[in-house]
Amino acid sequence: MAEIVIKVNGVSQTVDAAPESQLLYILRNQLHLNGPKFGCGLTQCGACTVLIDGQPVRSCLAPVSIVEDKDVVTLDGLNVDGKPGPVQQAFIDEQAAQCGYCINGMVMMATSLLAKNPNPTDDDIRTHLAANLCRCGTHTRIIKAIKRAAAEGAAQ
Amino acid sequence: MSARSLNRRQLLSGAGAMIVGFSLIDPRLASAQEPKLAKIPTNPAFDGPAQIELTPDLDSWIKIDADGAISFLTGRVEIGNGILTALQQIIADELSVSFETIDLISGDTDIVPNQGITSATTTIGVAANVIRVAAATARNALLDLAATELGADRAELEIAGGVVTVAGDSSRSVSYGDLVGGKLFDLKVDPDAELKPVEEFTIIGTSVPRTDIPRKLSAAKGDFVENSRVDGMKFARILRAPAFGAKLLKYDETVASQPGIVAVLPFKHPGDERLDRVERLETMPGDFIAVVADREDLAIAAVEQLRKSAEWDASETIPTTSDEVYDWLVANGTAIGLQEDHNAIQAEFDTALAAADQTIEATYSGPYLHYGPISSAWSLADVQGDHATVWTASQWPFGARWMVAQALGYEESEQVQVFGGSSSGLYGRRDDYDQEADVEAAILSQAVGAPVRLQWSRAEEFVWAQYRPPQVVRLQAGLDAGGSITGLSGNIWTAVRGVHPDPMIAGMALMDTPYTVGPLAVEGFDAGPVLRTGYMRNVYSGYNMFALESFMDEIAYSVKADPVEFRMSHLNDERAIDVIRAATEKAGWTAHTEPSGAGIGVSFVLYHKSEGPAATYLAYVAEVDVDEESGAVRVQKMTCALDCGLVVNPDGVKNQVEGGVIQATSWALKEQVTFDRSIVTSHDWATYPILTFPEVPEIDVVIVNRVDQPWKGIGEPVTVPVASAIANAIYDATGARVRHLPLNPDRVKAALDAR
Repeated sequence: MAEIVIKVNGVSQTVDAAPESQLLYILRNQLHLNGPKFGCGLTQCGACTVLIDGQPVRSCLAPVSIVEDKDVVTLDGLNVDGKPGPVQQAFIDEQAAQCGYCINGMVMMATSLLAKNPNPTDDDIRTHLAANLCRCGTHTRIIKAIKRAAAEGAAQ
Repeated sequence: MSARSLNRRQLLSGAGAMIVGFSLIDPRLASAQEPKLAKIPTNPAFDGPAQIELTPDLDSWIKIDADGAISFLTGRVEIGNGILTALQQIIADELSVSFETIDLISGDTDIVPNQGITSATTTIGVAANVIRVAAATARNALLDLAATELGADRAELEIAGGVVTVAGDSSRSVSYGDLVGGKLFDLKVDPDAELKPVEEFTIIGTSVPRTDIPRKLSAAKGDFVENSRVDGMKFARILRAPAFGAKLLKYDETVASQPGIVAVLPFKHPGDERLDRVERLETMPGDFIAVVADREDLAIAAVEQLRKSAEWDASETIPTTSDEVYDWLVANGTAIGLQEDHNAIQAEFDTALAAADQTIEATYSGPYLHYGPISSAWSLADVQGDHATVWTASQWPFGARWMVAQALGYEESEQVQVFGGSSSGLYGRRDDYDQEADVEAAILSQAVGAPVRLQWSRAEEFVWAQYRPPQVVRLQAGLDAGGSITGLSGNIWTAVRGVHPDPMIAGMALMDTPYTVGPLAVEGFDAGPVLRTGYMRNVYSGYNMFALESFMDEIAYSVKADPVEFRMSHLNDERAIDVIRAATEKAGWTAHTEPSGAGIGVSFVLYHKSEGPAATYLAYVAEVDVDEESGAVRVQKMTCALDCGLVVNPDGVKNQVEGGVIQATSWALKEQVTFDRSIVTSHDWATYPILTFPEVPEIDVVIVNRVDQPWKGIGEPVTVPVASAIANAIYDATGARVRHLPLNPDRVKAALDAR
């Protein structure tokens, strides 16, 4: 099978893939990453979101060829010394999850939002997450968690 | 002593066990006496005593290590509402240990007790009581052991933090670990075990943070059962038929020999013996082709290739369409017989109607709805000869086990070990017999001789899953000169595939109303089957109550009464009145006897009769804006008051209310399954949109905590008042009454134009 080298969460890895192979399945099935999830495979829900050079990308339809020479970061890679990083911890502190299955997308989007807008309004957050689906209805807490992460980030 | 309880004891023992001298009963002997697979497994979800009868040995529920660590087993699984955290609070409090001392184990059919399906809002109202009794049995046994050990009377003993001490003499103490650590209790669960008084709870009633959230946020091992992996697992994807009932004629067989493809396997359905022999397999008829590959992307690509080349014999097998189904229900329904004494009650109602000062009638409807879990259905199966292991999101691992055992041609369910676990939210999608993904994955694993992870596509999840059944509800009331209801009649039309969901409960919510309405005559009519149906969060109650709570408003305004006053005047139940007051005061309701223009609407629901496990009182007040140009409705705020008895975890309750409001707002405003005569046509999130971040209301929650009342569940109840509160608010804003869900712009505009 074909071999490609990609850099994920700071580590270069050799994976078995064709250039058009979707990134999500490589991350989950070969690198055994738990963060990005299969929700729709159609880029409609955002459960599969990862960051590529800091930009959010829906990995379910992203061909692995686009990550050549780029850094892929997943939810798994946001941990610091095996513990939740600041955005993740804000979600935990706000108990911003019901089933938690969509939360990967929410955290990755929050991370990219806060990198360019450290003090977002509620409306900024709603707009940024408008295409991320949550079926359990955790939206209110997700917004609170992102505001909390912003406030705690500003406090540092 | 059954083989099963021995297996549990052995597995519970771990290191340092003291189980000696038990001989294993040969399970093949047991199966010769009783054909195990012939019997549907018991579902004791509603029956606490039955749960104890099925698992009578205390040692099957709890183990205490020498160091005082406590393992407790439950038959329930975590599907996203924090239930396992609440159960752990109850266990810890009843046992007088810290919350962290407990390791709560769930999901493994080899060791957990069968506590029935995690569904029907029965975990807090039923399963928790069984767990509490088991914990209390253990605590009482420990007190007895401590009394002997310390040479004291039980009455002199105190427990704190898993240590029993003689009151006033801290030198005389012994820990749980020292009393029973590593040993068996060898006792039966005592259904009458003395329970700890409510006043002594220190953990129940507090907002203990959920135990599962941290690992879900950090993508840790064991976060989601969806993340289960087995070395060497293959990946399967399916090409389904283009129409229900379609037969596969031919397909490109060269796909099977492409690199990385393990197998291309066609299935007749019905017609494949492995599927046909699974009792209660619920998938709609339609042949399919499964692709098993070394890499998931190759399986996906192969399915698309097959899709282009496959030829089918397809025809129209659905008797109506989503636009016409309501008329079709009314034309084709046959009486279900919801009330034993219906004829007598109907006669009383007819008398009341004839004597009434005024009569009023209205008809409401609600569509088929998708469950819409964010995770599409999936399963991981590893079949090795006469033993199989399955990892699943099933709400009933024991049911999945039974169905998989049949599919594999096994003689006993116990040849399959099923691991349920924390999963994506399901809302009933994997209830009782909805385990088709497990069945399919197991058959594929058996066929290819390797572990197989099957992933349904999003389109399959929309088209081949089950739905909430639709309803048409016609209500009629007689009113006296003072405007009070003197008789109420409800006729409910629906379409159920088989008995799934049970048509006998189609009018339960309406029949259970605490309103004083005189004779209440209810009949249901089943026109099914049309599409596949199932138990979706609140089942029939949401539409029953959309009708009733809209109707209460319609009657109130027709007699020039304020909608809140009108409801109060038909209630004797203090808890009902209190919860309505709490919501309307918080929302700043001001009495009005005609539409105020403010866009505020109220709804009250007692989910089910006060003895049931989910007997929760709810009152919601919705505030909406209506764009009269387009008919678009924006729910600005929902103020929610609820009384679910003694609250185990206040933040858990608040989280569920918020979630239920948002999910049910999405149902009410946006959702309906669309279908033509061949197949379901809403197949992705674009053709079936749900509520998004910009559309989410502000939510205010008031919990009326009744420490003197038994704790009740809330998972389904929190969704029920939403649709009617919104419809009532739309009327208050505009004077337009919308009776047909969803309250989408077209329907609202039509109602606006009809004013």
